[in-house]
Parts: sequence; C-alpha cells; structure tokens
Amino acid sequence: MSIEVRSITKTFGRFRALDDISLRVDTGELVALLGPSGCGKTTLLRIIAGLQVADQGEVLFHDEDISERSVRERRVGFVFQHYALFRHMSVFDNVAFGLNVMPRRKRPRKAEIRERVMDLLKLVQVDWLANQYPSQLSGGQRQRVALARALIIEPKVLLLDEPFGALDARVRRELRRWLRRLHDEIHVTSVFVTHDQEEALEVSDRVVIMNEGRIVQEGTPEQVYDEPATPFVYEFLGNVNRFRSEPIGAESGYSYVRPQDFEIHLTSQNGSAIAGSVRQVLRVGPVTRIEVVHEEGEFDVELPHDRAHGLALEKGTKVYLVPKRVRHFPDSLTSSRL
Amino acid sequence: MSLRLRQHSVLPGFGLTLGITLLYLALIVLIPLSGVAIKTFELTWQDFVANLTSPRVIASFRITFVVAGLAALINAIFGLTTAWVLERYAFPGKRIIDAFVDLPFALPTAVAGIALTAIYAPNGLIGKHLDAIGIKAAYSPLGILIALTFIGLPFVVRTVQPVIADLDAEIEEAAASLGATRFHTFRRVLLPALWPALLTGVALSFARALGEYGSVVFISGNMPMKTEIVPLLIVTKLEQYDYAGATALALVMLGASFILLLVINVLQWWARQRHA
Repeated sequence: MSIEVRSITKTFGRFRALDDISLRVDTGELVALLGPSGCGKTTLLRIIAGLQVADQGEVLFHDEDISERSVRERRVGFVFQHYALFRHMSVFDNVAFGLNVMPRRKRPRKAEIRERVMDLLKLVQVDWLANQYPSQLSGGQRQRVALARALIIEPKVLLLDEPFGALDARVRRELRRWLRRLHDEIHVTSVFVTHDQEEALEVSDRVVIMNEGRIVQEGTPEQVYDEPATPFVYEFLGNVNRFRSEPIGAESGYSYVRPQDFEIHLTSQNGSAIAGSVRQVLRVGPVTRIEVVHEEGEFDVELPHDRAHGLALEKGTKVYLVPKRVRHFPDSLTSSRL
Repeated sequence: MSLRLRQHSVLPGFGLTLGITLLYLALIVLIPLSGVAIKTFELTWQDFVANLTSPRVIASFRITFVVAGLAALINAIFGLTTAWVLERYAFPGKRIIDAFVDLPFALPTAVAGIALTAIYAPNGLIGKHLDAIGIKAAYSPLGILIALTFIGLPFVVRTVQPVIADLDAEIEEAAASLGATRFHTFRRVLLPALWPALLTGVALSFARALGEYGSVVFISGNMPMKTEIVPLLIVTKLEQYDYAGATALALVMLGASFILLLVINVLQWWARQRHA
C-alpha cells in the first residue's frame, strides 16, 4: 500500500515543525526520513500514523484520504524508539496483544493466535524468549519483540521511529542489516526515521532528507550522497571540506570536497593543486586521517592506510592536494539552511 | 562463615544509629502498644468475649469496617482519577489542586470534622439541598462516609501518582496503534500496571479510616448502635473507667491494623517482583 502526504503543515505554538510537506512512498518501498534533531521527521511519521493531527494537508493510504481516521482505524505497525513494550506482559502476550483486542467475531481462535505469534517470533528470531518479560531482555531483543508486536496485525504500512536509536553501535549495525533482509522478505511499505546518515544510506531504498520542517532532497542513497542538492545535504551526509572558490560567472561561492576525494602528492603539480603542509597524521583503523594546513585554512584528508604509509607523511611535510571531485555552490545557496 | 551483623562500610555510625532507632521505636511504639495487650489480660476470657460480643460493640465494629471499606473504595475511583488528571494533563491551577490533595494530611482532623458538619448539616450549604430531597448527610452513616473519604483521599493519590508518572505515554499509543479501544487500553495496559500501587493506596486509606476519630465524632452524631464508631466507643469506655474493656477493643483494632500493614507490605513486595 502506498503512502502519500500532501502539503502537510504543523505548528507547535509559534514553532513551525512541518512546512508544506509533500511526499509519496510507493508500495513495498523502504524509505528513510533523515535529518538533524528537531527537523520535523518524527512529527511527520506520527502524523502518517495518526498519533498526531496536522494543521493542514492530507494523508493518503493507497490514494484514499485517511486524514480523518484514528490511529486504531489506520492499522499501521508502529515501532517506538524506546520499544514501549507492555512491562507486565510476557513477550508472547505482548505480541499477541494486537489479536487479543480484536472484536470477538473477528478474533482468531486461541490455537491460531498461538501459531501466528510463534511464527512471528521465529521470524524476528526471538521465539526462545516467548515466556520472558521485557525487563529480562536486552535492548536488541526488545526492539525485535516490538517489531513482531507491530507486525502481528499484518499492517499494510510499517512506521519506525528511530528504531535503533537506543542501542549500542554493534547491535545497531547488526539489527539494521537484519531489518533490510526482513524487508526484502516481507515487502511491507516502510518508513523509518533516523538522524544517523550511515543508517539511512545503508538500509533504505530511498532517502528523504529534512531540515527545519522542509524536505531538502530525496533520492536513492547513491544520488543523495554523490550529488547533494544543497550545501546542507553535503555537510549532513558525512565530513566535508569547504573553501572559497574562484567566481563562476558573476557569482562567487564555495567549493566542497569530501576528505576521501583528495589525492596527495609530494611534488608540485601543474594547475589546480593546493599547496600545504601536514599538521597531524592520525591512524583510525583502516584509514589514515591527515590534517593539512594551507593558506586559507585547513583540510581533512583521508587515505587508505597503505597509501598513506607509502607516502611516509609526518608533521611538517610539504604536500600538494589535488581534489578528485569538487562541487561548487554559489553564495546564495550556501547561506540558506536548506 | 562467621555471623556478622556489621559489614565493613565507609559510612560511619551503624551502631549508634541502630541503637537510637531501636530505643526510639521501643519508647514510642512498642511499649505503649504492649501496654494495650497487657492491660487486656486483666479480663478473663469470658469477660473479653462478652465485651466484644455485646450488641453495641458489634454494631460499632460493623459501622466502622463497612464505612471505612466503602470510603476506601470511593477513594480508589476518585483518587485514581485525581492522580491521573494531575499527572497526565497540563492545565491552569494544576499546582494548586495538587497542593489541595495534601490538605487532609495537614489539617487537624477536628477542624475538618467541624467544617464538614457545617456544610452537610440539615441547615448547611449542601446539607439543606440534600435534606430537601430526603437525604440526611450529617448525623448519619453517610456523614461518617464523607469524613472518612475526605481523610483517606491523599493516600490513594500519593501512592498512585508516581506510578502514573513512570508510565510512558507511548505504551498507550502503542496499544491504540494495535487496534485497542480506550477501554481495552485502560483495562489491559494501564490498570495492570497501576494495580499494585492502587491496592496499596486503598489499603493505606482503609487503615487510616479505621482509626479516624477527630473528624467523625463531629459529623456522625454518635448514636449508639447507629453511628457510633469503634474509636469513639473506646473513648466512651475510658470515660466510664472501663479500662480493660477499652483495651479489649483497642487490641482488636491493633490486630486489624497489623494485618493491613502486612497486606500492604506483601503487595509492595509483589509489585517489586513484577517490575524487577
């Protein structure tokens, strides 16, 4: 089932959380809403779910306007950042909840409920925890249970609010790959909110980048990373070096280069090379991070460790930097927050 | 393994503070209460039983326990509502209402009794309207109920409030997104979480109501067999120099309080087990 929002606006007091947002998510897609905290991404997700009401605009499921329907009637699966599991219920009862509260004539029989819950717990790989209570589980296990609970009502739409935000780095990485595989298996239209660009780029089919209540750019992970539409997107999706560039036509502006998009040479190069000297060399796992001071400021440069090793860089070494990939943005765009 | 009460600790003063605590408890709790039991032994078993089974005593036990129980039930419902509204919603005057809840704790109960009587008496502000439709509020069991409800309310509110504060609003949203109605959410998600605290609050409010004297004596009218509560009967017996008879009643009340406190502790232990 597709999701569409049209011209959604939402204000809290004088704060404009969402400003005329329109977005379409096609059936079976997995879309990430990415942005810094306070950009309105969670508010948008909650409006899609029906947990909050927009001041203006419509929400459509499968091209049908459902703006007036309550959360109960929308039948979306919603996964909360802090799991929101029912503490006094076992894992089994938590997952069975969505079936147990159905009107009696629609409710499946006990045996069927049991079967469906156990199947789902197997799918999320925590069937062996069925009789435990949420307080006895680890964070990663709780989030899997929360996901199973959301899926039991066979939602047409799955909404996840910072699903891995409360987990530690390793479990996070493991769970997001697992979510990707799970989505490939069940193909439910999904939207998840995150402020972690790596997570968005790795998991989703499409990334929607938001800032200050507006959508700044949407596209595949490759598109948004390789061709950021604005300086904001450039800076938000990973580290970037910014420097004043030669005016192009009448308008002056800035150039953006990612740290890994530099070549380092020890001898002078013709043309566009930037001369500088090494201030610090830091080895961070597989890459070496080099701080280079030049006449306008400093650059962060990243090289694979073996390359850096070959150059025998140390503090004070004279180097010439050649950017492999540069983006120019005119001043008018650079000053905008979008 | 050697049995040591005292474990190594960087906090000084274990011996001193434990000593003071025991002395203090003995002086103001244990010795006076054991006095009650000892005084009762002046009665023979037959006298003791006769004392407790006289129609006037039985009537007073009945009115005390039944009305205290009803008051605790009323407080369960309205205390839960009050705690809910104070914790879950923001509205003007919330802090003032929150402070009002503690009033029955702070007010001398005699003052509360006189104030309630003035309002609910047949010529009082509310009493005259009730009187017009044939309801007698003051000087009837209903008057006792009003007084006991008044003094018991803060116990329920103050025990339930922190538990509500601790409940995440997200669990209600989760229940709603799974298709639960408001009733189902309350019945299956909220109530089970609040249940232990609510029971504790109700038990405390009941225990408090059993022993209440000051406010009730003004509003009840104190008619033997009808609106005479046990604490008042104890005082009456004391005034008639029937000390042993008074302590016999006191011993029963003491036993009831003790059982209630035990129940409260078991409830709290149970609640901790479930959320550990």
